[in-house]
Amino acid sequence: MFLIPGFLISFVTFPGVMMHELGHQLACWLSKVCVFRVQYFKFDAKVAGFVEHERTDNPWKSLLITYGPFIFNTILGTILVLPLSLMWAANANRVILPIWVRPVCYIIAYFGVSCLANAFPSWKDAQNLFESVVKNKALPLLPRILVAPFVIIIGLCSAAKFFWFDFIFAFGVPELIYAIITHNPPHFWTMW
Amino acid sequence: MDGFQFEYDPGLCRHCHKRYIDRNSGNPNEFLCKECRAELTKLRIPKWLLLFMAVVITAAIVMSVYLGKIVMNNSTGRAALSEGEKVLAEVDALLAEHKNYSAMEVLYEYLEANPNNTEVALSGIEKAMEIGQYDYAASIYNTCLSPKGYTDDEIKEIDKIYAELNRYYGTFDKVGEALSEYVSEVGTDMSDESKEALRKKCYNKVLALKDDEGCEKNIIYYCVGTYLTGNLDESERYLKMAYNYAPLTDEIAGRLAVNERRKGFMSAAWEWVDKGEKVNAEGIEVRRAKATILLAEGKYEEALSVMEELYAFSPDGSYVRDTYCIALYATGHIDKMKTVMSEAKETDYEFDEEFHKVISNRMSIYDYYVEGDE
Repeated sequence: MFLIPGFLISFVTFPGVMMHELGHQLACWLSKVCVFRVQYFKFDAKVAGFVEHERTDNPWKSLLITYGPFIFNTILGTILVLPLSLMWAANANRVILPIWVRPVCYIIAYFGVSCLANAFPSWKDAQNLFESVVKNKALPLLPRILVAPFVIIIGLCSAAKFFWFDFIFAFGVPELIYAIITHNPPHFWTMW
Repeated sequence: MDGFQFEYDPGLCRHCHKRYIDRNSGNPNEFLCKECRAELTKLRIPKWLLLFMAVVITAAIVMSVYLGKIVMNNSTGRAALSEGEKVLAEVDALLAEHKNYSAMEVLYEYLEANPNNTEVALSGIEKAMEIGQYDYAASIYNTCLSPKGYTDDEIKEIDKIYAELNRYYGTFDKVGEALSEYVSEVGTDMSDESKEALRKKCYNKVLALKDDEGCEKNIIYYCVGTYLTGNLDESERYLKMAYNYAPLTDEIAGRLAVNERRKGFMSAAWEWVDKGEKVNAEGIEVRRAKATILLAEGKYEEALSVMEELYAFSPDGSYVRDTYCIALYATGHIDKMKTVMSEAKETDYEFDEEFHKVISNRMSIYDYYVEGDE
C-alpha cells in the first residue's frame, strides 16, 4: 500500500476537512449542543481541524455529533460529484461536449471527492464517542450497547484507511451514480 | 494594596464570567447563563465559507441540470444498448444460417426506428460490408451517420466506410456508362460483325478501367464476365477472378452455376450452388440457378417450390419471372403462369423468343436450359 502521511492527504483534501468540521458543527446545532470554538482547517501536521463543543450525556446526541460529518459530507459530496458522473454518462452516449465542461466538472468533483474522502469519523471521534457513551456508567445499559457497534465501525473504517478505503469510497460514489444512470458497469480506467 | 485578589464565584457563567448560571434550565450540570447558551447554540458559519459553499453547490447544480438534459436527450443508455445488442445477436444468428437479406432487414428495421444508435449502426455497416451487402451498408450510412458529433475514431471509421462505398458505387457508375453506350449503339438490324466489333470496343473500354485507381478491379472483371465476353469459358475465367470479392461472391457463384448448367455439367453446377448458398442462402442468383438446374433435371415440383419463394421475395430479379413461369408451366399451373405473364407485361417486361418456344411446346425445358440462351 502507498504510505502517504495523513497530514499530507488532509492538506490536499482540505475542503473536505473543512466540511467534516462543519458536519460536526451542524450536528451540534441540530442537537442544541453548545459549540465553543471551530477550527475548520489549519496547516498543522497534528490537528488540521476541530470543533470544541460541550459534553453531552445524551447518547443519541453524541452519536449524531460523531456521525454528523459522515451524513453531511456524503450528501454534499454526492451532489458535487454528480456533474462528473453525468459527464461520464454523456461520454458513454458518444455526446461531444463543449470544451469547458470537462475542467469545470473536474474542479467541482475535486471538492466532492475531498468531501467524500473526509466523510468518515476519525479515530478521535470514535474515542470521544466511546468515552461519552460506551464507557459512561451513568447511562443506562441499552444505549451503551446500541452505540458500541458504531464505535467499532469507526475503528474498522479508520484501520481500512490504511488500504485507501476512504478514497475507494470517494471515487466509488461517482462510479456508482454513473452505473445507475447508464446501466453500464463502472470502468474506472477508461472514463477519464 | 499588596496585590489584586480575585474572588472566584462558582455561580458565574463559565463562558462570560459576568452573568449567573441558569439554574432553571433543567440541566443539573448547567454551567452557562441563559444568554450564553442561546448564543453558543446558534449556528455560526463564517460568511466567506457560506459564500464559497454557495458558489460551489450552485455550480454543481447548474452543471448537473445542464448535463442531465444532454444525457436524457441523447440517451443510448443501457436499455437502448441492450436492445441494440439483442438485434445484433439476431443478425449474427441469421448470418450464421446465411440468411443475409433477412439479417439485413432486421438490422435496417431497427436502425430506421433508432437512427441515433451509432454503435449498432457502425457494427451493422461492418457486417453488411463483410457479406458484400453494400446497398444496405449505404442505406444505413445515409440513415444513421448523417451530420452529428463524432469522436475522432468514429470519424476515421466513417471515412473508411465512405471511401469503400464510394469506390464500389463509383466503379459500377463508370462501367454502367460504358455499357449504356454499347447498348444504345447496338441495333437489331446490325450485322453480326458490327455487333461483335461494338462488343469488343466496349469490352476494351471496360477492361481499361482496371488501371483506374478509383475503380474496384473485381467489379470490372464481374461486369466483363457477365455482359461482355464472347463465350462461356471466357465468361467463367473473368467471373472466377472476381469470385472472392465479398459483395459479388454469391451472385458470381449463381452465374457460374448457370454456366456449368448450360454446358450440361450438372454436378459442377450443383457445386457452385452449394458454394453460393454457404455465402448467402437467400441470394437471388443462387436460388434461381438452383431452380433452373432442378428444371433441367426434370424435378419440376422442387423447382416450383424454390421459385415461389424467390418470386415473392424478388419478382424483378434477373430472369426470375421467366424461370417462375417455366416452373409453373412444367407443373401444369397454366392459369397462374398466364397471370404472372400479364403482371410482367404491365411492367413492360419482355420474355425472350426461347421462352415462348418452351411454353408453346416447341422447345423442351432441357434444351432451353442446356445450351439454350438462359
